[in-house]
This record gives sequence, structure tokens and C-alpha cells, in this order.
Amino acid sequence: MTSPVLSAATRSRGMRDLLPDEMRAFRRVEDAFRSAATRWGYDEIRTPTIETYNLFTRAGTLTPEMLSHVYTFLDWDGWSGERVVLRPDSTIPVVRAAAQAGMTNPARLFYVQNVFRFHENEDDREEWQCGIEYLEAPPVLGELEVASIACETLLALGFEPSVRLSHVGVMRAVLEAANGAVPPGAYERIAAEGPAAMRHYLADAPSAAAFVEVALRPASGTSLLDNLAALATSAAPAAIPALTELRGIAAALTDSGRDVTVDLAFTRGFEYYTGVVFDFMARGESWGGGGRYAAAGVDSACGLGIEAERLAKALAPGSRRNQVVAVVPESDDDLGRALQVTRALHRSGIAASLAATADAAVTVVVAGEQLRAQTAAGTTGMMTRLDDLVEMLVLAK
Amino acid sequence: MSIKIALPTGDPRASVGELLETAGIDVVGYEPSSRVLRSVNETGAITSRVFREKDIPIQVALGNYDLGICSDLFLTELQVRFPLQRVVRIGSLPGAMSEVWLCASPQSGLAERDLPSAAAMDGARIVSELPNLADIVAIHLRMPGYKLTPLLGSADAYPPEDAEFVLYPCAGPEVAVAKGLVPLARIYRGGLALIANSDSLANAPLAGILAKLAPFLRPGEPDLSLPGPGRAEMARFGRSYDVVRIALPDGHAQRATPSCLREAGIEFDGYDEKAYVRRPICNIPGVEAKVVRPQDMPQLVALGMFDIAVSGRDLLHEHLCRFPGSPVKMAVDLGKNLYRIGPVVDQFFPAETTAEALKIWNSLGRPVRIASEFPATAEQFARDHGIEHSSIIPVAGASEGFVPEDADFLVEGTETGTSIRANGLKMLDPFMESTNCVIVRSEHVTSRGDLVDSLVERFAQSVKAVEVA
Repeated sequence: MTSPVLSAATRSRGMRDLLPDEMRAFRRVEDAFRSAATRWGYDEIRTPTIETYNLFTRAGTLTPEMLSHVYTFLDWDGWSGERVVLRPDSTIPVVRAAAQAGMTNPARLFYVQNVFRFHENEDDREEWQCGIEYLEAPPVLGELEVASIACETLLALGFEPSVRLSHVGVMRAVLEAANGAVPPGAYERIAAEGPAAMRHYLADAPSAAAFVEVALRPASGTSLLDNLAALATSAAPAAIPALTELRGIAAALTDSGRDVTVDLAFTRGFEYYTGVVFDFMARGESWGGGGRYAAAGVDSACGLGIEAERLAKALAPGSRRNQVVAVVPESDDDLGRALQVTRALHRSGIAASLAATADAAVTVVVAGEQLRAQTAAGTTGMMTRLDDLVEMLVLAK
Repeated sequence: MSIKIALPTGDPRASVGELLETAGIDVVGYEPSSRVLRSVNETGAITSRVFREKDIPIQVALGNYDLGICSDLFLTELQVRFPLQRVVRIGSLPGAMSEVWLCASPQSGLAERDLPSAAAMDGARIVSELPNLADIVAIHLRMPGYKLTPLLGSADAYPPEDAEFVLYPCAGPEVAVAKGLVPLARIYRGGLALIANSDSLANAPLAGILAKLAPFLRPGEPDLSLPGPGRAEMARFGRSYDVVRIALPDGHAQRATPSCLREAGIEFDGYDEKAYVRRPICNIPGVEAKVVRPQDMPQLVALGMFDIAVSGRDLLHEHLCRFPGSPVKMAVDLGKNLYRIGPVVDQFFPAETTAEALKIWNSLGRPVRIASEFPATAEQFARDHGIEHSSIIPVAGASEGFVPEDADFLVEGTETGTSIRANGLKMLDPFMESTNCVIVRSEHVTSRGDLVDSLVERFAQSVKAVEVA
């Protein structure tokens, strides 16, 4: 009997139950991603749920905002003062694991794992991600490869992906050109208010302000980047290499048949990334993103994260449960024969389980040597040979 | 329907009491001399309860109280870590302002208002009685790999050997300077706040009491400033491993300690029943002493900051319940400051023994609420006694007022039972006796392990001598 306390139990706030419908859809997402990553030569990795807190404060890549929203606590041996954290991000642990294992770079790694972050205005505190970390990825080639994996994953799931591209080096160069350096607090403000907050830092730099006004308008194709490169010669010459790199990636993705939008207003966490950043859009929403970054232990890498759970949720309504054949032993003497029947069906890829009554859509009643089968379409059959039974059910399936 | 208001004990009590009286809000038993922690006024309209300030925002957020008056500092300390709490700051009330400063020691070479670079702070140790705030400060300063030690008190004693930084609450930077610290940045400034539970504001008839308090509300909000790293370099100092470091207790637990030390033939210049300095001088060469909060001692010894400490068995037990793998152990039971710890319930609770009470608690059909200043001990008690679902409420003090409305029972210590009886409570079967004791690390970190052993031997001999006498 369930205790009254347990029967009233609810899951911890913000954490996830993935019920069978969602789990089936989740496996579809995972399989699509795993296939794409494996095709491109990536190896799977998994890191611990609990890491030392210092790993994240030392890495210097998580913003104060992110660091102040992690689950951190003292471990059982916390008398040492060493705090641990529920993994708030997968990139830093993957980089850590690769370095600790002495892996040779370039290393192509992928993972499917959850991260835990406390959010102020929503309940989602656990997120499942499909991620790629291409450590010491060569410039441009790394971006093209990673973006392709994301697009292939979304296509395999029936989405029509488009790639939104930006380069954090462009706006960074503009801020530096207009102010001598990135003004204190600028990253935080832009992260909070969006790139339009750039205008606040460009009041005394008209050519930089003009550049930003043009840059804040998204466009497909590469003409916008050519126009911006022309404006950058006076506004922020340091932005030109970033614009050139971005142009090369946009052109290559377009040539390969991808739908590409250049949107410099999109910055995807200014501090964390160092180069090209991308978002993968479909059905008007972003389903993941990534870009070029540097972290403690790796000078330059390219990564992406796909929001596996959101995708699974979107796919769940169409996910159907496999039909399971009910194998019903008529008496205790038939139990052994019933197990033989299930084994034969399993070997043929048909799901089957034992049942006490024959009220499922597809049933096989085992009565001595006789097997009485009924399919979902209402077809019935009586036989003694297992092969005949399997053939009938395979045809019905 | 009675309005429930949480009021502060300690420093603000006199000024808040005066304010309530002037506002015409009838609160019984809130005089500074009163030992009453909970009361209902004559009309039954207001139930008031006295808390340590730190507990007030939590109790209001939980919905146990509709309104609260406390320092903005403790609201800030709660909300920087738990911003979703259902507590609304209505406004400022007249009262003393307080500040929190990030401080270093003069030995760091840092000048006032001079912040170090992120690289200079790599692996820095920061201590504070305000751990949530200290965490946010360290994160914004981009201190790589910082180590935070939460303390119950005496934080100013730690730099430079035991911490590079201290987040120090004080009236102003001059107070920090007077304590031998260098104030680097003001992190917080604020006063007294009137706070409310958000559901109570929406649903409870608070109009009468709010109308009386409204004329006293002042403009202004607490100022929280989180600086980024600076450019300065800083010097660092660790403890010496060629000496033995002993931690001596301040405050209430200090009473019996000077006599225990004297009986063991260990004298300290600057540490007696009447007064103490932070670093008293020992008559034994090679022994360095600091006066710190006894509650912090087990962790400090575990961390190897101190080699030996005069603490309490209750505090050691709490530490070991929390960290069973800790290397701290009791070396000598000094046998003084005796008191018993056990479950404490309302005087009308229909049980006289723990066994009878357990039957009642386990039939409640909801989590059993246990309030305690010893939360890990309370959790172990619940586990050991088969309480099916417990909810532990860690409290900063004044715990007697929690029962029965805000907790089903306390895990509480009592020496004479006076305070328990005064608050209409009774203790069931005590499960532990506590006395003061000497604690050490199972493996010495100092090279003078011989001296640690000799100090322990002195304490042991003194206890034997007292027993014989």
C-alpha cells in the first residue's frame, strides 16, 4: 500500500519526468542527432552530473548571471570546503574530460546529457541537450561541419532548418573602436537588453553608429556583409576580418543548399563566444545554436547544443506506441511454451509480452501444442508451428 | 482573522518597539527585557513573534507570517540566492543604516578602495556571515577558483592567515578599519524594511496595520553594488605550519573556557571571563591563538586552519552528522557547560515521551516540521526515529517561538529548562548530553604534532584532577 505521504509526492520543482510518449520522441531526436554526428566522425562522451564548482569559476567562460544560477552545495566530504555543482553546462566538463584524459586535438566529440540551471521566471531547471564539441576545430571548416550536423538532425526529424549567422567579433570591434575598449558592463547590458543597447555606447561615434544601424538589420545572402565591410573601413577596421570570415561561411552554407540569414543583432552570449555564432531555426523558433569559443584547456573550439527535450515535446503528439502482442498461456502447463512463443516473436522483431487474458488487440493463446492467433485487423488463425505464427504476425504487422 | 507579524530580536528591538508603540500597534511582550517570543494582542487581531532577523524574510516568504520588519540586509541575503521567494518589500522604516564591505588585511598591500585583478585573486579565500552575498561578490569579481567559508561570526578575525577577503557587515568603513581591516568596496547599504508575503498582500486584511505603518515609511531602497575586478596586485599569507594554532571561543561559550585553560596550565594574555582580544598571547612558546565563534570551529579544524579548538560536543556532533568523513574528533571532554538536547514540543502536546510523540507525528499525513539550530542533528534524529517525511527548518536562534504554529517540534538544547518553560514548551526524551570539549584533527597538519599532543594531555590531566578533587 502506498503511504499517504508518498501518494502526495510530486517531483522537485523544475525537474523533468519524460513519460513514455515523450521518451519515444526523445529517442527519435537522440537517434537522428547521434546518426548525423557519427556520420561526420564524432565520438560520444558523457561527463558526470556533479562537477567541482571551481571548474566553472576558473574557466571564466560562464557569465556572473549564469554562475549565480547554478545548483551548488557541499559534498559529503564538504568539510574540506570544496563545493560541487550540478552540471550547469556541458562544454566546460567536456573540455575538462578531454584534457584530463590527455586526448589528442583536434577531437570531435558529441554528447546527449542534461544540464541544471535555476531560472527565475520559469520552471524548467533541467534541460536535455544534444551537443557537439569540436576541440581545436580548424577555422571555417569547423563551423561548416558543426552547422551541417545540426541541419541534418533537424531535417531527419521533419523540420526545414534555416541557419541564422552572426559573429561576436563584429560588434566587439565596433565597441572597441568607439570607446577605446569594451566599456565596463557593456556585455551584461547588451545581453540583458539586446544588441540595440549598442546605441548607448556609440553616442560620440557617428560612423560606428551608422555601421550598427545597418548591421542590426538581418538579411539573407552575402550583400549585407559586403556593404558592412565597406562601412567598417572607417567605423571599425578591426571588424573586417570577422566580416570576411562570416561571409565565407554564409556563402558556403548557401552554396550547399542551406537557408541562411545573417543577423548581427544576434550575439548568443557575447562573452562565451569568440567568433562565428549560429542559431538553427525552424517553424519560427530556435531549436539550438552554437559557435566558436575558447575555454580553459582549449584555445579554440566549435560547438553546438540542440534542445533535445523541446524537440521531443514538439514531436511527442505524433509518437505512437509500438503494438505489443499478448501471449496468453491457457494453463500453467503452457507457461514454458508461451515463453518459447515470445522468444520466437522477439527474434523476428515483434514486441510481445505475457498476459493473463486475451483482451489486447493482437493476441496469441497458447493451449498445449495449439496456437490461436488474432491480429488487429480481426484475422484469426490456428496453428502448431512457431514459424507459421511468426509469418502470420509479420505479414499483419 | 489574526494578522501575523514577525519582529526582530537583538539590536533593532528597542527602535522597532518604539515605532510600533508610536504607530499605535498593540504588540504584547515586545519590550526589550521580555523573554516572550510569541504573543497575541488583547483584541486577538495581531499575533506577533520574535525572530532572529535572519529568519524573518524566510518565515514571511514561507507564508508563516503576513508581515515582517527586519534589516534589508537579510532580505538581500535571501534574495540574491533565492529570488523567487514570495516576499514583497513594501518600503523602508526608520532605523539604523548598516553597510557591508569587502575587506582585506593590511598585509595584502591593498589600499582602501583598491580592488585586485582577477588573476591576483586566483584561488582566493573569502569568509563571511553572509555566504549568499559573498558568493555573488566573488562571482562578479571574477575570482577564479575562489573558496568560500561561511561563518557564524567573528569574520574580522580571519585575514590574513585564514582568508584573503572578508565580507564584513558594519556601520561604516571606519568600523572595518578599527577592526584592523582594509575596506576595498562597499557592497551594500540599507536600513530597516517592512516586508510582506505576496499572497497575504493579495488575500489578507492587512489594511488596518498597513495604514498605521504607512506614515512611517521612508523613501529609498537598499543599495547593492557588485564591482568587477580591479588592477591591483596583492600579497598573500597562509598559516604557519611550524606552530600550533588553537581556536578559543567567543561569546556565550567563553564562560567556562578560561577556567578550563587555567586548570590545564595554559594561560592566555588577553582572554578571560571579562574580555578578550582576537589574538591572545599564549604562555607556551609555539602556540598561536585566535578567538572565533565556537560553531565554526569543527570546520576550521577540519580545514586545517587550526590544530586544536575548545568547542562543544553538540557542535562537533552537528558537524559530523553533516560531514561523516570529516577528520575532526573529540580529544578531551572537558565536562563543563552541561546541557541536554532533545525534541521539544508545546506544553499541551498530548505526549510525554518521544515514542508517544512519534506515533502522533507519523500519523499527521504531511511532512513533520522540525525547527533547529542543529539542522543536521535534527535530520539524523528524524532518520534514526523513522519519521517518514520530515521538513527541517534551520533557524538562526530564538527557536522556542516556532512551536506549535511554525514547527511540530524543535531539536533544542536546554541547561535549566527555564527558557523552554517560559515559552510554554516541554522537552520529551533527551537524546544527547553536551559539554564543552577539546577537538583536534585525526591527522595533524602542523609539524608540531608533539605540541598538539602535549596540549591535549594537559587538558586530559586537568579533567582527571578535577574528577579526583
